[in-house]
Amino acid sequence: MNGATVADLGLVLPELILTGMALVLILVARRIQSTSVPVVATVLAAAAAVAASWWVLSKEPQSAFGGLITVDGYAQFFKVLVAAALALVALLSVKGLEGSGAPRSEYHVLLLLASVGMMLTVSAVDMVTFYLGLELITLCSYILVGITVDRPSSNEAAIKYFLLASFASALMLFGISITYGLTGTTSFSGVAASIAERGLADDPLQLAALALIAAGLAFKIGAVPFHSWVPDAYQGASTPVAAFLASGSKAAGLAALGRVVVIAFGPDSPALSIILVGLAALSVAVGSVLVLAQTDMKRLLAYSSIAHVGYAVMGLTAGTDAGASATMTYAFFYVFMTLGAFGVVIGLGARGATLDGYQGLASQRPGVAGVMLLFLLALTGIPLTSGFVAKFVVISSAVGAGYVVLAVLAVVCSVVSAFVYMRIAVLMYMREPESPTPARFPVTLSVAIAIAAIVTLVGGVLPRLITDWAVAP
Amino acid sequence: MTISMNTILGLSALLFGIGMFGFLARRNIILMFISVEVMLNAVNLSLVGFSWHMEDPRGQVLALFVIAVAAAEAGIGLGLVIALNRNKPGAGVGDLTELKW
Repeated sequence: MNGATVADLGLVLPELILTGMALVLILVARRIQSTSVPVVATVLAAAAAVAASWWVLSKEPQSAFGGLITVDGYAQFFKVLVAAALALVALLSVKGLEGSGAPRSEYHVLLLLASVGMMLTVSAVDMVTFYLGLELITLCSYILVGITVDRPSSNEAAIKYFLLASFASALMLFGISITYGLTGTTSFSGVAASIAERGLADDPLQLAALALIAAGLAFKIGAVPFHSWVPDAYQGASTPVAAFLASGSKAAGLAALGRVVVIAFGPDSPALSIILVGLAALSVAVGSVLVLAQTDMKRLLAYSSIAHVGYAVMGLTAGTDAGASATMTYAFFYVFMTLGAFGVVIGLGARGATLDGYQGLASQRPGVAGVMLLFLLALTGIPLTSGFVAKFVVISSAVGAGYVVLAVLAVVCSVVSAFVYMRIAVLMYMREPESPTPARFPVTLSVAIAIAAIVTLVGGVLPRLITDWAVAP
Repeated sequence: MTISMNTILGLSALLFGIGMFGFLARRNIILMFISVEVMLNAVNLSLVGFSWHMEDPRGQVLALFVIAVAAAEAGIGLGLVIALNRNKPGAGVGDLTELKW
């Protein structure tokens, strides 16, 4: 392990940009509270972070800060994704926070800092940075969920999320500690080497540690059976916060899970495969069935996100590089389709909060209904949308790994969940409107939805633009 | 005096179990939160013990980070409890029933 140098700072440029912008916004918070400065600043910082990620990626993969983080294609892929999600959520927040009483600059500072946590998590190759990155995300997320302090449902969601998440963090930390005690190291590659060298793969204590870490990570991404916080947190939080949790947090958690699976605990561990297959199968099945009963739009999207996390984890069950890159593709496309759907929900305001609000939308606002239909088709996994490509790559990697039953279950469940997505489409196109025509969407919101729609469409037609770029660690 | 790895692990697992039991058995938000703190301190104990046993500083560094994160978590958690208490004075976990299914 060699020490850190000043040159290492250049490798974490995207994180430094976001942190710097967050500090500036805190300093001037009072002056800019009711202006649009925080949004503009956040979007600019996110764009700069994307550019910085590209620039860093153009160099060789290397590790920094004495092997605590690595800067490789995998990390940069997810950093670009996190920064894109941050920018889109900031654009959604302009309309989404109207009248909520949330302090705008603090809100954007928390978004920025949570994104820094995500970027650290996706580049972590050591248990220390892995833990700190995940905690930075959750600490910021607690406040974001509870930021509308005057709303009792927001308080309730934040308390529930806080209690369960801190419990899950403690479980994961105990797993990390046992792993450290058994292997004598905290770096992912060191753990893998030590497990192979000392023959720990079947050690009951090591299996317990693996189960604890997997449980903690499953909680972070909201996979069944650790999903109970997801619907409550999404429904209680403001809609843009729910969109952020569904996009950035999930992508970062999946990235961390991918690295733990592929590097630390190794593809050869049968116990890990069983855990991942169990998580994937349960998430897909429970998410797809419970989504059918929902009438609240945010809760519906929450259960849909649980099912989608199950599909994404399916890619990792193979434990191969191809499987990991399938999960990367899934995470990328899912972020944009879910942000787009949340964007439409935000744009329709109070009307968009329940399923009934979508009645007759197509005759009143054909454009809005059209993009919503696109996102619904993508969430279902219909060809020519990115959702189909994403499902195809993960299911084929599960088949390649020999989990045919899991693949069949996934296909069946995607048909089951199609009922609820298509029910919204039927409401929009085949019913007479009952409520007045919704107001025009503000420009910021339209831009965000348009970007999400373009990625969803282009990803469905020309998936190679993204899949070629998704390289496993 | 040498303390074996198993003693360290056994003690911290016992403490962790006490915290876990407290979290699952209590219905008061603050007490549940304190139980989580007990769990985190059990982890710290094991980290420092392993670190001392293996003569490797990394465990102690991680324990310091865990303490810092636990402090931040305590600040946020108590803030959330205060916000909840303004809207629903004296609310326990049993009263958090607005969001379900």
